[in-house]
Amino acid sequence: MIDDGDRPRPAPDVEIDVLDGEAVVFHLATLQILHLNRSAALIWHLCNGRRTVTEICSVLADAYPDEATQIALDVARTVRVLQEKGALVVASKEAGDSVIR
Amino acid sequence: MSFADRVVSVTFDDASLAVPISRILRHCSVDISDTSRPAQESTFQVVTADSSTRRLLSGDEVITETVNVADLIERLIYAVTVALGTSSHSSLVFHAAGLASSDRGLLLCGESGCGKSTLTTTLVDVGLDFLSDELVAISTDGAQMEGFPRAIALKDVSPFVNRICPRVLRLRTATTTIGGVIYLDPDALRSSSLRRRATPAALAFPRYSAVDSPKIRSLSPAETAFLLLPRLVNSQNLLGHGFRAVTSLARRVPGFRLVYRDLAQASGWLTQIIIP
Repeated sequence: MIDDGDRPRPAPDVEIDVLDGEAVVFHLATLQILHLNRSAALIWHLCNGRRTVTEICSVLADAYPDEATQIALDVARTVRVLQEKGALVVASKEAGDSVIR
Repeated sequence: MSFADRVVSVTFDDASLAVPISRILRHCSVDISDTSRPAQESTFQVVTADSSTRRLLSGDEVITETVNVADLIERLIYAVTVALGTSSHSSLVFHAAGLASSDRGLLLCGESGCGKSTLTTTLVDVGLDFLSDELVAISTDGAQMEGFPRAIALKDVSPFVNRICPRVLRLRTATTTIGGVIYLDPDALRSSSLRRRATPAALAFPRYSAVDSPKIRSLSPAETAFLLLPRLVNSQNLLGHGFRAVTSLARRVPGFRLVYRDLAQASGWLTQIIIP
């Protein structure tokens, strides 16, 4: 479950290459390969461990104001899937106590 | 035999066993006077253990011991292919077929059973040059591709092959059947069709389907890299598992996805891609 206050960031041992706005993610330890379309690649780019999920949605909504509702769903789903596949790690919002889930 | 930066040698104490192997691998031999080639890396020996049993050795390791000659030959071909394909340190080696028109190279990637060898046979028959139906090495700068020119292995003698290439089964002197697999000398399919190297010009990912609608579409570079990476057989020897080199290749060389149910249609699409 991804919360609005979570701060996702790339997992260690992950390499990414951006090709024409899309991305290929390669996990050096598990050898798993992921393909990110443009939307997912953009979400990935915003996952820097400092922005919350809410802030990520806000950035995207500013760029695509007509898509705000869909953006929230896309961000939550994308972060969840990338976390499940080991490409992202998520720190919770509790102050002073980062938890990796 | 040589391929990429590797050399493999095989010795037999029974010359009769060398005959079918030599026919299957006759285009893979290395010029021993070529001093630019690397030193011998892997050796295999086929020895007679007793009156009916043969043993396949790699150094002191027994790979298999069997009374079944066909099984022995299959294991040897597999061992040689694996040794050449997985031990290269300087090229990207893909489980793929390779063809060419002039110097423009086409890589056909796909899982076993997707029809690479049948497609390869068809494409050679209509005029493309043969590099390999099994392994292709591409230099890490993407500038050159080299094929492992073992005879074409037709695992399923399908009705398609009989219709499109009716001469195939009649070429008895150019085919060797081992354990239900027909090994076809590409030179006999079309003379002078063999080519060792080419410049990569297209990457294709074919899939046979009797159900899905036939189609061909261009892939984005990211999609191409995503499909290409799992086909790399020597990633463990390469810097970063070859990830950056493969994405770089995908940037340089266009990729295509094909779904086909008709060989003639697929070969038409592929020849359009590769022949300017």
